[in-house]
Amino acid sequence: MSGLTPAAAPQVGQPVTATSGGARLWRSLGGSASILVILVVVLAIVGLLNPRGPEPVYYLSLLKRAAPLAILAAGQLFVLVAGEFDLSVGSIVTAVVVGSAVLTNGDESRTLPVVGLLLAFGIVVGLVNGLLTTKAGVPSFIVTLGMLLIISGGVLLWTAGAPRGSITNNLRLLGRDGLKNVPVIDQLPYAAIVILVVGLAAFVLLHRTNFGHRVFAVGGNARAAALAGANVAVVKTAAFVVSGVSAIIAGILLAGFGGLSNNAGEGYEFQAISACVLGGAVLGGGRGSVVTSIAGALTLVAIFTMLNFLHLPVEVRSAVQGGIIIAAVAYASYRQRTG
Amino acid sequence: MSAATTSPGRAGLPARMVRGIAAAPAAPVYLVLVILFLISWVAVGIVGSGQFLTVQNVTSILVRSVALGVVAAGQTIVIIAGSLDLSVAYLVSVTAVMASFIMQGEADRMVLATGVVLFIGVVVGLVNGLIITKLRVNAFIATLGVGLILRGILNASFNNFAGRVPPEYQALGYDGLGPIPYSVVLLVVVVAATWYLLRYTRFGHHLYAVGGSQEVSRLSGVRSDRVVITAHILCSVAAVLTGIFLVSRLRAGAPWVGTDGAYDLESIAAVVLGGTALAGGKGGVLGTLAGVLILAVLDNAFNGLQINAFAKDVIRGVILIAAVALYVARARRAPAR
Amino acid sequence: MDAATAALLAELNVEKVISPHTLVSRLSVAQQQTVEIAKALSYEAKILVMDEPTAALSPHEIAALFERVSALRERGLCVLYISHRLKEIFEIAQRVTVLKDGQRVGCVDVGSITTRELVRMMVGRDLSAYYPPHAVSADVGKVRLAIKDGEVPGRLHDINLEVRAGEIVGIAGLAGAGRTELAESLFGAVPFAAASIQIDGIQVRIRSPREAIKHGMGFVAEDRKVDGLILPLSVRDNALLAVRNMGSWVFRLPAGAVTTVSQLAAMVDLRAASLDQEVRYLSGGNQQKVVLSKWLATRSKVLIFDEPTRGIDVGAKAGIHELMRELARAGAAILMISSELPEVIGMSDRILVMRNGTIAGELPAGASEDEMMLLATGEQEVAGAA
Repeated sequence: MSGLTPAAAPQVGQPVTATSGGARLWRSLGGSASILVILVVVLAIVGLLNPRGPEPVYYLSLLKRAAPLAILAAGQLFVLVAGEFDLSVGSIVTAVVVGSAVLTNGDESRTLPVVGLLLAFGIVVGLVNGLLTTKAGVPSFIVTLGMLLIISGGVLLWTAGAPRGSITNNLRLLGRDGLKNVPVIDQLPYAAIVILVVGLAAFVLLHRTNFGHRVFAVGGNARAAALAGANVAVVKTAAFVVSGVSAIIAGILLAGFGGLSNNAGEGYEFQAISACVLGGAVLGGGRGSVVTSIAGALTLVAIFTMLNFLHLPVEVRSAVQGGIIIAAVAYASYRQRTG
Repeated sequence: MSAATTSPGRAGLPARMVRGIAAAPAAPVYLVLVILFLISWVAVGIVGSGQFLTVQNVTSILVRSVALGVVAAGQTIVIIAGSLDLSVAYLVSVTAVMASFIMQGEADRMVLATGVVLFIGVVVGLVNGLIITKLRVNAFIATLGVGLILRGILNASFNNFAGRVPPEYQALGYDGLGPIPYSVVLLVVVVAATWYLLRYTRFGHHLYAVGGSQEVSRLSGVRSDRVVITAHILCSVAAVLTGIFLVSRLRAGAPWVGTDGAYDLESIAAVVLGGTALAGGKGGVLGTLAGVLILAVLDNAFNGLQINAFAKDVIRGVILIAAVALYVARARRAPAR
Repeated sequence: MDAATAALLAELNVEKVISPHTLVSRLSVAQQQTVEIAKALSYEAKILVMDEPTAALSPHEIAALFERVSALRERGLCVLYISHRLKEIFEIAQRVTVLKDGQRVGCVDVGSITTRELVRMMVGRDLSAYYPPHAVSADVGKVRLAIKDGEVPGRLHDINLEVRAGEIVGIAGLAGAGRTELAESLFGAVPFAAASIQIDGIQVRIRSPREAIKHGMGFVAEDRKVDGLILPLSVRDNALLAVRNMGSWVFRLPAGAVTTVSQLAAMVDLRAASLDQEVRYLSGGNQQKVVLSKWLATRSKVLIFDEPTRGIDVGAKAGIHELMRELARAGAAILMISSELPEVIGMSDRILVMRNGTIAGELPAGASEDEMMLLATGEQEVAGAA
């Protein structure tokens, strides 16, 4: 079939200008790159507050602690951009921490099969979340809230309230250990490498593939996207699967340094949403960026660390988290209105 | 249009109520409630303790519903207005701790304590409403943020039981009008007031209009900002009432009272179970009451059947998703024109 | 409250059709508008602003609306009537104010100005020809789209039509006659329950917009902001929307798609600050051009336009018409639904008139408004007598 090539219309008025690659990269940061500035400032303050000065080792350990949240935020972002919520991720993290202990019980030969099993679990939860949201038409807030109840209740049932077993050492390495004898920084945490790899993968997937463009389109206007040939149910379900898988990876990282408990992942869902929102994602869909969402997660953890240095009670953390997410969204909507 | 719905309502109030209930979206929810109640009765009778349909047990179901029911009535108001409130759980905790802390076991400080916590409720609701309407922050983030702030302040100030509740205050929690506990009276009054408010007042109509379409109602002269702010104040006051009820059943308030009950997510679950659309503009408080009772009957039946308490959450999750899927399927089947 | 509502509806003579209890979503657009007028009366408004009130109305509904508006004027209400339809201005207004690019051009008595002068005020130049020339027989080629016995229970029945390469087929009819329904079914949004569809002579099935696009169709919907555009996304992302949806999951564009967004923008003469500008900030005309470039990017051979120039100013309107004609000349088959009879007459090489969910008849290019109305209402004798 010969394609149509309409003759170019007469050129009148202001021509459209092409934009450079740099500008487009900036755009994929969601136009809210101010979070990067805030991150640098907070990190500088943390460095100054540290009695031994701003040493790289300190930042790397901060990165290690922030890793689970950063990975969760990158996954949650897909769902938020698609215009939905995923409140089930915190319970998935709990299931991973508890499950990896109970299923391996310290036996290193079981590590790989268990990791495989957990990934499959994350994919299944994502699929179920997505299908119930898109096919049964239940709001994702309800679906994932129900899923949160089901998974956290399921974990309690399974362990009868008291999880036993121990996480294998090789599984713990990922969240806890790092590459030795690296110049300057001595040790490069695996967690940092995971953030980099997962972050890059998420960035490419959301900002540089057709699938990513569809996520934005479906979240921005599902009707128009469908009329332009998008399969809305498939795209949204895939976003939930990405979120589920990210929760598994985050859980494995947390298992590396966190304790074994039935509420290991509690509250992570709201922290992940907070991180994305700090990074400029809009609830309702169509806007967000992987880089700034991860920056949002790092900022949140860095601020918590800063509060520690200021000798404020640990409980103040949540008040600060609450204040800054309101401020961030208020600022974003103010900018949106004033253009 | 059927003739029944177009004829002017000359019927007496009871008849209109019956018709209203039958026509209300809440009707199927009550059907679910009745079926669940019967199943529980039979199940507990056969395999459980056998103690289900006793005055004592039914009263216990009702009392168990009070805390969630009152806060869920408030949650219904904000959800109909197209908003939501994730700060209620922490507000319940704040109320419980502050009331107990102020009273310190002295009966003559009861009025003062009640006044202070109600004032706190109005302020928190006002703040929620102002952040949402004036700063244009998404309700999810705004109330999550306010809730986190309340939690931070509360946990930094109190980490255990604070103050003491005087025995006179505990009357609300334990005494009653004859066989009817005051707490049940509280629930009935709050639900009835909310029902009247939603159905028969100008403010109620504005709530549905704003929840249905904020832009259209604003262009129609409804001051939607004021409506949303008022809705949030009412919701926060309802949370305070729940806090007052809970503290009256304790010897002292503790900062985990609200979060242990997960009143934020549970109240939203009850509202949605009751057929109110999360998107706003549709629903009612009678459905919410049924949603609350469904959760309480389930709870009670699990106890009667001595089912592992951990299974409770799993089944709640399943019921929540299944119920909403059912409502959606029903709405889809209904003719579009 | 019921009684007050009923009284208001009675004032507008619609108390028999609209009950106070009817859900507004069940009313027709014209009836909904009446409810809006009732709403304004309910608080005894002194000034009534009407923004394109006739956009979704059929001619006889418009007549009823005008009667109502005149009655309101006689009651002493001040009516501010905003419209793109010049004819209406002359019919209903006493004075007209022309705005252009956010500035007041002038305010004149309607009696002292001609249509041509008004247009000149609006576009700042004389629009000598409203419409591009019709297709000549050499332009018209083989049948691109053919439907036989299309049916959607309750919406459409006995749909038979053909559109050839190079021609623009106009679809006229009253509101509710099934024009938009026809577009939605052709495009697979509400698939035909039964139909034989051929594209370029090949039998195809169209059960979703995806399949329609795969077979080379494109749909410029009636409501751009709801059905056509992703408002928070850029010009670029909107222009590439369909191409990306149809391509693979990974690669950004399918092989062979060499047309760049800047080329597309040049083809439709888009005026935007940059290709990365969000489409929400564009004017109606430029937004419509973005929608059009979406289908140019997929190289659609069959294009369906539903009210292509609704809410677009006179200058941009001519641009859209020019583009449609150019597409046809380049070999596209075009179906154009429009409520504006002059547009149907000016643009169409053939005119199909719909009534009660089917095609009531066909008229050649240059048919008169009267002929179309007769077919659309199905009241030849009555109309002839009147």
